[in-house]
Amino acid sequence: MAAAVKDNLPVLLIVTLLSSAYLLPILTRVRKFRLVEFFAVFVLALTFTGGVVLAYKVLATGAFNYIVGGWPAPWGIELTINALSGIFLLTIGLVTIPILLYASADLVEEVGSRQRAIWFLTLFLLLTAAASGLAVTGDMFNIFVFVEVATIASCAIVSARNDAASVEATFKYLMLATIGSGFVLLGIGFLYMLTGNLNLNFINMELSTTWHNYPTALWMAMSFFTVGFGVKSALFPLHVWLPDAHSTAITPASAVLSSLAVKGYIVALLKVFYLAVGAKIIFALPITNILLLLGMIAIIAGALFALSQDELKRRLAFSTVSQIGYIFLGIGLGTIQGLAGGLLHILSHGITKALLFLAAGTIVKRTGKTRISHLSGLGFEMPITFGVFAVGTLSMIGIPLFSGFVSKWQLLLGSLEKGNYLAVLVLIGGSLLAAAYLLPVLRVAFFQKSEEEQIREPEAPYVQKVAMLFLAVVIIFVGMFPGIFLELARQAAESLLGMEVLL
Amino acid sequence: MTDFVLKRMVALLLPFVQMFGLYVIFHGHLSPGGSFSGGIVTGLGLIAFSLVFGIERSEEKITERMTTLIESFGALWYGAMGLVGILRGTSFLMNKGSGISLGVPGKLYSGGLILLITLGVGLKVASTMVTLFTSLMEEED
Repeated sequence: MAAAVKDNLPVLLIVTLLSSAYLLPILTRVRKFRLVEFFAVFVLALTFTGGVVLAYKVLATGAFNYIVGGWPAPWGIELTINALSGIFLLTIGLVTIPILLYASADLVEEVGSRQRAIWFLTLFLLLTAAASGLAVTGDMFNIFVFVEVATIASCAIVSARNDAASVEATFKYLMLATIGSGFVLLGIGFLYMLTGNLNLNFINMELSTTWHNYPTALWMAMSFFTVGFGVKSALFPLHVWLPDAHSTAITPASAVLSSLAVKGYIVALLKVFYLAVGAKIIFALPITNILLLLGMIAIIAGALFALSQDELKRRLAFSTVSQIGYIFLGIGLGTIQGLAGGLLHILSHGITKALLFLAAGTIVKRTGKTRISHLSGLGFEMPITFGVFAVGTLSMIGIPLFSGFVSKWQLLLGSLEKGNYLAVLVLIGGSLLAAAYLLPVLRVAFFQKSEEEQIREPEAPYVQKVAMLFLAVVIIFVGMFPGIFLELARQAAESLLGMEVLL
Repeated sequence: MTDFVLKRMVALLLPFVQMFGLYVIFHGHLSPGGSFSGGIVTGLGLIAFSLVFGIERSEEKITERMTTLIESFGALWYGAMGLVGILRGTSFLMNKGSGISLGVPGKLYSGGLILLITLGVGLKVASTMVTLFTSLMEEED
């Protein structure tokens, strides 16, 4: 039995998450709602364990394929598990478990009724399943299916509260995300037309011999993919839906969207670029230079937009735009060091932004104050919440001993290695701007006396404090012992870029 | 809607519509169509009933809780059928390779697990159509 589970682990991850998502709606009669929430957290913990096992296996023995249904590759469905899947599965687990734990404390109260709370849990598990699916899938068709599942689930999760602002944000998000899906589908259509295959490895084999015949069509396909996934992962000029969607959703929804949902599309883009098309062809096209430029613009522009927001959650949402720029900068550098830094930033931004959103949500919920300038003197009233917010801030800026430092340092080394001094300047400028838009929150909260008499607010419930402290510990752990994560990111970058680019 | 002709026509046609939908589901591996198209035909039969006889009457026949149950059951059934392969020591969704008899070609039972899987998907699609319809009808408050 144990051997059967171990052999079929890649597909069992997705099946467990999807089945549990479908099991939840029929659990409405369970008297204690806490049990339902506990079940959802348990499922996430189970799949996280699976993810850790897979990541360990990849580190030990390298990438491997899993064949679904016994039909070999060009006919059947193939799952490809490589170091990229490993690092993303780790991110998924580390982020979703604390977020759902946090949500379980006051979910019914937040979304209105038990029925809606159950739907929220279903959507949450569907989103996690889609993200895990994107991590392990090995063919174009399943990339499209999981991208669609993730899009629909994340659109619906934004409107969990069902008030005017979140419904408007959902509508905006839905329209733009659907346009993005259309672009992705066109791209897949082009690749299928050129190669006659949907399996990533087979597309790669086919293209490596014939791509000289259709350079324009390939270029078109790549630009469709870049725009499609760019819209969904909020690459700078295409980010317009993100601030509304991420700031109006309920706290756990904003956290999971910002830290996980946008990253899944980046993983899908990387799979299309390097597993399907291949590094050699990608570098013959100017696509990485475009991504590098857009990434740099995103870092600076996102940070400047964040600086101009006074509302706490909106500032964090614009900060996500800026941090997504770091990941695209890493991809755009096109070196192993740079890509490893970008991949590591998926993990480190995931845990950091989840923590910041959870802390911000607690602040807004407990004090009713959404604006940063109104937070004066609250720091000592809610020491744990603002304490973990400080940890998140330091990690976001990139102070040593916190996880943000590790990934930004790798990106910096990558840019220096490439001799791209503009990127070095942008990276440092982005960090300074991050300090400029996040540190004032702490300054106002700790060092400003409030004029009005504070009503002593109780701290967050026990479970929420545990969830936030867990994330803070993970951030410091990754910052202090980054070895295994670095190794995984490096191996992922090496396997994606292949041996062609050792310059 | 209290039109006599409409009510009689739907009452007459409904059994045939349902039967056709189930036929398409069960013959998914033999003839054109399958669980999706068959499920939609079955679901549309139920929707036609509630359009003509009113949503209260159809609520008496199939409650909302029942459609939710069927919907979840269909999806879980698919997962369970996939696990058969794993339990028999082969891979997920493995059909013939995990020792399931394939039956006589051309007969109704001729695809091993495929018949059972399409049944699950058909149920899921049919109940999803009904759920979508009822939630759109209830939107007006």
